[in-house]
Amino acid sequence: MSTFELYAALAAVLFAVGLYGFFVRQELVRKVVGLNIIGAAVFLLLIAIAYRNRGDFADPVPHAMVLTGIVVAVSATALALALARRIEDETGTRRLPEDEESS
Amino acid sequence: MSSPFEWLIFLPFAGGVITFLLPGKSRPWLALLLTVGTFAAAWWLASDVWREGPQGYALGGWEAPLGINLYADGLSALLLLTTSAVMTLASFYSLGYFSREAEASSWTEARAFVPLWLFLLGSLNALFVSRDLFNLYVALELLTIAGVALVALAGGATALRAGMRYLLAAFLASLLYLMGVALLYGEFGVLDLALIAEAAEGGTRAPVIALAFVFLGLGIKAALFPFHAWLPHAHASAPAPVSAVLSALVVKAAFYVILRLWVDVFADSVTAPAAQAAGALGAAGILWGSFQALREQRLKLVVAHSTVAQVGYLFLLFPLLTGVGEGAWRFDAWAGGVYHMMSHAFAKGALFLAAGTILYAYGNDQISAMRGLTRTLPITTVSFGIAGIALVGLPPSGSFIAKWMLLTATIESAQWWWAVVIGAGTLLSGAYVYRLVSAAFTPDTLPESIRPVPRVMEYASLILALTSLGLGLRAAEPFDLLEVGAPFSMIVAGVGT
Amino acid sequence: MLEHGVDIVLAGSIAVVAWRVLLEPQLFRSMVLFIAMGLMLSLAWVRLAAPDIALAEAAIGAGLTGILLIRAAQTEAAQEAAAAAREAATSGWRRWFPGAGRIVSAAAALAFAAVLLVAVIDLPGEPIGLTEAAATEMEASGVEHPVTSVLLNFRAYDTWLEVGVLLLAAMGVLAIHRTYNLRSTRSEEHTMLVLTWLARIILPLAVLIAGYLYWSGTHQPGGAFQAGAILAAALVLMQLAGFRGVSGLSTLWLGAGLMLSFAAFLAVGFIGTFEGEFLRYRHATGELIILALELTIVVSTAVTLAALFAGAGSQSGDDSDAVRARTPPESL
Repeated sequence: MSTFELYAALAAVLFAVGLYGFFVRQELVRKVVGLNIIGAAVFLLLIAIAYRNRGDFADPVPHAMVLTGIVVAVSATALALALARRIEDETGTRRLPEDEESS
Repeated sequence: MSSPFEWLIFLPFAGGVITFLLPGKSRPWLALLLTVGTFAAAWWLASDVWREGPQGYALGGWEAPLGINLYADGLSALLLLTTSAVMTLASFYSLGYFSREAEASSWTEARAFVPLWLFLLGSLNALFVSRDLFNLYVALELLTIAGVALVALAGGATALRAGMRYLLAAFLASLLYLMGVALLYGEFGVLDLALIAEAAEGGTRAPVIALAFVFLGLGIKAALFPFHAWLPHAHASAPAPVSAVLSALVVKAAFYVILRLWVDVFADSVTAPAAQAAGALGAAGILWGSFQALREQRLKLVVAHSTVAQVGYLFLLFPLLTGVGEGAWRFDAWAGGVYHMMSHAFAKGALFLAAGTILYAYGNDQISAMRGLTRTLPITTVSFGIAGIALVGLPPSGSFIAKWMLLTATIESAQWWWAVVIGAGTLLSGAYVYRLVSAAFTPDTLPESIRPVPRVMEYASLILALTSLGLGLRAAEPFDLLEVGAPFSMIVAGVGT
Repeated sequence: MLEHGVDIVLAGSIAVVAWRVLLEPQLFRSMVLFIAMGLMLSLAWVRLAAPDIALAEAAIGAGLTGILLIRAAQTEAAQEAAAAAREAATSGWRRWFPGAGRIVSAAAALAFAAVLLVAVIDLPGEPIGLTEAAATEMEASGVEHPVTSVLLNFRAYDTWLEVGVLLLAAMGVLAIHRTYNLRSTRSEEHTMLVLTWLARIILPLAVLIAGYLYWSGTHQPGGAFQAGAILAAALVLMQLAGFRGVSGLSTLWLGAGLMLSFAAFLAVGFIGTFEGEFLRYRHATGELIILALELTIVVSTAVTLAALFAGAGSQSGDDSDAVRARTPPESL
């Protein structure tokens, strides 16, 4: 098992953990954490691929992609938390009611 | 600035910056001016494509694979024209919609609205000309964040929750897409779509799992059944011009990426069973969305559920592209789907704007409260009726031509079962449109107080509705444009590219 | 072999900590574990020859995201118990099949992981990518660090739109709160003296580190986003210590800070079109332009991230009094 394969496998594991958390947890904050773990999995795969592609240095294109991805993730996270906060202000809870989904 | 690409990107984003920083009531007017300017740029690009064929552009002078390249063929040009046309008319509408006099809250709404609106336009433009897997991701992300913010602008628990659901679904979808992109980069080592298409030709390197991730993510963003649950409330609780643009354009943007990748890049990698599955989900969306639209009591929710159904039609084109032998039906299926995208954009834009007008005037959008609409808002009633015709796909609307082409393709490709779905969907949409129109024509006692509606709102939805009709009366030019750089040809002899 | 052992232990620990983040019943602790996971990931990035990402992960992925989450967790902690009780009494089919949702979710997650593993194994083992291409063209980009050359020259368009995403998030947060500056945000009531003291020391230090990261980004790991994140962390600390920070800025100044970088890219792009294409800057002027753009990224990233922090925890301006009455007192 090469270093690339090891971290790529870890990416698969993290992806599953994050996805499970996203599905199972009802609190909005925890759903956001689940998404951030999925994000970490994606970044891990990209960086592992960059490592596999290395010459004098690792492939810089996936590195730039991950930097962008990290910034995008923090943006979406902040927006989600601000929404969660306002939802709490309006309704007193930070969970989404389940029955609304079926309509 | 000698290329239309530059203006398409520059104008809306520069407008977003300026309208965010500059105070004053001129903002909505500036937004209008810039959407008109963007339409001119789209027209310019379309005429270049028409005369010279597909156009390319290397940002920063860096050619692919290292740089990011832009690309526009007939498909991009038509969608860019549709985007700026719908957004221009919706901008007109917003002049009236946000001018509610002496209401502090609406003034704040309008102030936050204009820059977000222009950013949304910019990201749609960026997406329709992108030829790079990762650039598409960034454009989709811009689109999502702008969309969520615009939904939440309506305020109130319902809109906030709807925005939250939208954001969670779209965030997950982006990550699925990006995971797919990572796998594709691991496979091909480039991000440029043309280069990947070259490498993937023949289907010897078919990254099936990567594509599954990519299409799953995009399917969520396009509200393909059963990933549509986020859509109805998000589209229904947004401010009216936002609802119109989300349903007309933003959902289509995700579908456009699917179409590009499926047909232009990975045509040899996608399998017939996958195409049938996409079609089946589309069919389920048509039936489920229409069924929900029949049950809903609120006008905007009916219109939103109808979007789920109408998106379903688009996915029917994938199974129709398969089939034995050579034939013009492939162009019919592909172009019919694209034309349906356009026609629905105008019709749905008109419907949401008209629904917003009714909500504005009556203070609520219960269907039961719509009685007497012919007397109170005659122009809105007319646009409702025309857009309804286009939604159902009756002649002479653009959707009629689109559905006709799809039906032709079902017969020529010997897949009659999709014709049954199209027929059933048409009947169901006829039923929910009839339900709305009959409510409007019920002569009943008028509600006690109706807020006067600015004329510009009524006319904006009327023009959109008329355009969706006009697409049926004058279809030759759009199809000629669409054929530029198309993967299929109108003439049988030219097939087999 | 020993080298490999480090990676195996690290990868194993990251997986375990990620799982603990999920399982931890107490929200606050879960968030702390999430930050720990981010820091461990930073180590993984170092192992994978990605020092730039390690810096960004530590500063943004673990650091600022973590602070945001902890702040959100603080107010939520009080509700945890009530919400858990409500969850136990869920309606619909879930009541009849307790755990069914979990089993289906777990099956789906495992299926995804399995499919992903298959896809990873199918990937070509030999290098295929843009390392060579970047190495060949780096000289023409104006900088000597490959990641910076991609980020600020070859794919500067993406970076510009990325700055746009950050900006839009801030605009969205302001719109959600129906405000144009953060002056209405609640200042910290219980300020600790030690925090004030700490802020005074850390601020100049943060400026120094940020300046170094910014400057070094042209020829070695570092860069503008990382520098901006460090400055943002300092601004957040100031805010926690009771200083006004970004919430003291007027509408115009806050807007200018948020917009600066996006507008600068727009201007550079515009000027580039006279020479050739949008965002064209090569050869002699390349380095100067990249340094200027990076400086704007530092400023805008710092202001935006700090504003996102202030916005994620703030009360909206118009009905904050009514809201405050309803909000349970903060514990922890």
